Amino acid sequence: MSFFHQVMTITRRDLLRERRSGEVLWVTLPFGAIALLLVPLAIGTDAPTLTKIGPGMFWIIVMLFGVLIAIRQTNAETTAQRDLVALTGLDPAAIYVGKSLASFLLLLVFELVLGIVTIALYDVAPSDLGVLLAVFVLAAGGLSLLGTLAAGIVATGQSATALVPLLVAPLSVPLLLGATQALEAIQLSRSSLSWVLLMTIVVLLLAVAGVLSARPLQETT
Amino acid sequence: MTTTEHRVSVWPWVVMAVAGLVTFVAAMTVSPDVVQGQLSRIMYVHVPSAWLAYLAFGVTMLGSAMYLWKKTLTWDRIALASAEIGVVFTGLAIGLGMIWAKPTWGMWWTWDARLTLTAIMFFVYLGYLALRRTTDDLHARAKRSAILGVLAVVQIPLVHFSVIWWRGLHQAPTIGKPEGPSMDTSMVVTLLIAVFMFTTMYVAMMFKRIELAKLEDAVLVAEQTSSGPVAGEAVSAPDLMRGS
Amino acid sequence: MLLAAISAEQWNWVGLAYGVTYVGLVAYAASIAVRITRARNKLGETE
Repeated sequence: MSFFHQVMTITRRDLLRERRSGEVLWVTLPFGAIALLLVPLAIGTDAPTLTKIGPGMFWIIVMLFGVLIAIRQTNAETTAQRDLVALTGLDPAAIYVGKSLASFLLLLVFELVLGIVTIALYDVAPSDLGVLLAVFVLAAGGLSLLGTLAAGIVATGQSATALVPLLVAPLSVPLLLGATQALEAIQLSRSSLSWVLLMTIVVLLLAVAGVLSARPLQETT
Repeated sequence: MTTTEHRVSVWPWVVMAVAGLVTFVAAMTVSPDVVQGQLSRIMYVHVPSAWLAYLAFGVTMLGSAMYLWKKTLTWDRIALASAEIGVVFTGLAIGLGMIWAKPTWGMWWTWDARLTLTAIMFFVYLGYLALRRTTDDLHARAKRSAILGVLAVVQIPLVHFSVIWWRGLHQAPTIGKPEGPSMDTSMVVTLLIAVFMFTTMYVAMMFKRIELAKLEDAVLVAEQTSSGPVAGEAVSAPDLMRGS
Repeated sequence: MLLAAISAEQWNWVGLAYGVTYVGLVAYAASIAVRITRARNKLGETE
């Protein structure tokens, strides 16, 4: 089976799993949405403040809650299931890319829906849609690559509930800053190119790191 | 008495005590800064702590990479020891920075690049230590930690870069840079003494912490291979669900 | 007078800083020592 085919198989499997369990759609997404709802309750509902913090809150929720999407599959797997997949002889790198791809697609949906919620609740108006799309894609990609890798590193049979988010959070800072600063630059009519480039580099490095670690991680008990 | 080969080594503790004493004396006898007054003395513990925070981090990363290459547990212990000591000094650096900032700037925290970076690094350390608690399998733990260590090495420069860049765009309120006018020689010398002493303390602590790591690994191995009931009573179907 | 008051307050902060530092370092060193002893005892038991 070609690498591409292996990736597609895994991605399809993960997406099917999601269709069956509906966890992202019915649990993680509402969780993110209610978080966005709670913030004004805590901070204050005056419009100027909300418009100011809206984009930032959006990205924080995406980063912190989105990681749950990236790790849900690895968390759901038991050691036995993982061993079984390993026995099939599928390239561990393909498994990694496949999982990341599935998470990436789900994260895009996550961002989209929460983006709409943010626009509504915080009265923000996205401007440059091109940059917005680029940032959405890069953030989702980076987060899924990072989350899948971190989940692979932790990979215990027991659910170490907050451990993967703990590992991901500090390392996701370049993505967080990249996304927020790129969009802020647009608002201030400055160039967001450098931030977008930074995010691209992060994504590329994470992809390399993830692919290279795939086999060593699979070989670890 | 145990049958372990090592005798109780006390010299690291002695070295630590001496280094601590020297630092204290140096820091207390140097003349205070013209601008900051006595508060400048806090620098002599804050700066070395910050330096060690980064040094320890580097050693952890190096140990991780070396473990992935050589696969010997010694490197893993070096990485772990440095990580734990690193957490202590990072926490110290942040705390001392806050103690210095409050009377100097009037607030406990500012969002300047260095402070923010150090805080982020603190959490990377914590994550590393938390990860190690998830398994008792020595080599599995070592490999996972090492991969995290190397991942951190890859990401930290990017974190560093993005934070500095971000702060560059949002000038922090300039209430006054910490160093002010260039420090006079006696202060520089005292600072160098303090940094050197703290580094010596770090090395001494590493010796003891690595010794501890070796002992704890031995305990784990002993517990895992301890003689249970003789086969017959113990034969049962393998538990596929058990992790590690 | 004012200078003396400022100086006194500053010494309080310095004291806090050094207190935290040295107590912290001693406490950590002690924790290593205690853990070493505990591990040694455990090894003594199982061997």
